[in-house]
Amino acid sequence: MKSLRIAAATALALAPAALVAGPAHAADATVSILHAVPGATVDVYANGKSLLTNFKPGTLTDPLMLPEGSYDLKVTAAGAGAGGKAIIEAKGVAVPGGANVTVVAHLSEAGKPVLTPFVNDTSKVPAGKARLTVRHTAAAPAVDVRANGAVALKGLTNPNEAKAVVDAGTIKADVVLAGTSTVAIGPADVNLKEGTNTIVYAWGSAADKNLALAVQTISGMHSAPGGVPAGAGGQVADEKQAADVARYAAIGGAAAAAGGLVLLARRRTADAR
Amino acid sequence: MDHDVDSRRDRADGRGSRRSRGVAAALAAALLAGVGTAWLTRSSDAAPPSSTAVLDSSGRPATPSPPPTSPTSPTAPTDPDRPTSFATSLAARPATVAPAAGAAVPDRLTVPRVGIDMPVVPVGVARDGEMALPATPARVGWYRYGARPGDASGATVLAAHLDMPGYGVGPIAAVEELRTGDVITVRSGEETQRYRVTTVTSIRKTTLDLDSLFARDGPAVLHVVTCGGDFDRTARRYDENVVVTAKPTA
Repeated sequence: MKSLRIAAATALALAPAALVAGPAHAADATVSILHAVPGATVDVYANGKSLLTNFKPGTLTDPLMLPEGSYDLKVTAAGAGAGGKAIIEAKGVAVPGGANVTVVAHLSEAGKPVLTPFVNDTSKVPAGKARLTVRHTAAAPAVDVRANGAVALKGLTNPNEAKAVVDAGTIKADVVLAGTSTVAIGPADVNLKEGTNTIVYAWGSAADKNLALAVQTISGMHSAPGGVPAGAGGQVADEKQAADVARYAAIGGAAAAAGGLVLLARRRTADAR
Repeated sequence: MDHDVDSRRDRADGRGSRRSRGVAAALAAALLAGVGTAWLTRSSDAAPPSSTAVLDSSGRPATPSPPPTSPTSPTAPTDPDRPTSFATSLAARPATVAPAAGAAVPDRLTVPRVGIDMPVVPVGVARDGEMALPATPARVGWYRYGARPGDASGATVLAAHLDMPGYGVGPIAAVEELRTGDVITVRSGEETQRYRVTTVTSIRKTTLDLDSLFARDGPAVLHVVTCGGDFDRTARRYDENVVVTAKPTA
């Protein structure tokens, strides 16, 4: 009875903290939102509730944990209210549990504002490498993406993505019309930080001449190198071996000498007797 | 009386038993001398090998790997009773990536008590996926993708060749003599970071926990690494890594 009472008291002591914190579900998704529609400062609603206000073009939210499920998303002009006219509306946007997702408000190839959810690849990257993801979210035709002048990803169309694992480091990135060397965006220095998924968005409108690049970095996918190979000469091993041989010789020699001396001493005493 | 009995017993036993007693005495002396020599010529112990084997993959402390996220922490959804907002403040920032950091990189490793004073250069990953070390044992490589000295968390990894064909034994070999409490200094441009040795361990490469050696999170620590153990003459590789762990100190 006594132990039960103690257990109950402990449970009560813990409970208030638990209620305030709110448990995180394993089925939550990590969601970021990118505003890639030129010219409009907006408010964003999910299932009728305000998610974001005064959201400026070219900005990316901090990650938000959302329970998995289906969401009705609505983008209005800033200050228009939950019932305001929708600039973009997307019903039933699927947010998968445990996924890392970026929802992008952007122009379609034809220039119409749309919302596209992209699932971000968070799998591990080998040591010394980075994952480069490029997403075509611009009102523009198919493009190739170049790194330091060489085509890295080809024939990308709106609203699709392409990705590759590349050496970490800073690249000079530009975007050309597919199959040509006509530069549509850039060049711009992009730091592909080791162990990250660096996501580059082409956004804006070719017709309005405001095409640009936006970048999102997700980190934590690095791997350790496969080993530290710090010695190929063997000289230290040789020295240790030589030292060991000398030591055994000394031990053996000392033992033989001691034994010999004892025998000699005993013979002398025997002779003396 | 006894004396007479003894001398008669001696003559009765004869030379044989006297000889066997002599051999026994000689063996005892030999054993004593051998053990004594072995003890006198023993190698002096460095800091005892870490019994907790923090870098042993079979026994490493459980640290959950960080969930992949953007640098800032996520905002949790609020109580559903709050009618209109998902989060009290969801911030948005310009979608750009910071250019590569221009902070100074480590350039000198000094261990005064054992006479190590070596230049340090940034290194990355070799084609075979292992850490790339400077070719000469005279220089130390700093793993450029890991923590820097002075960072709040993660392991700063410095490694140098123990020996190389043509060069001989490298200066880093002296780390074998390090003891707990010894001071190590790493200079990065104008800044100097001091460390105190906590452990010196020699670990089979097959058991070494590389994720711990190259940890990007957890407490800030210095790992100075070289090779040790047995040398395979065909493969030209040692079978162990010697790892000095040191904690930052004022």
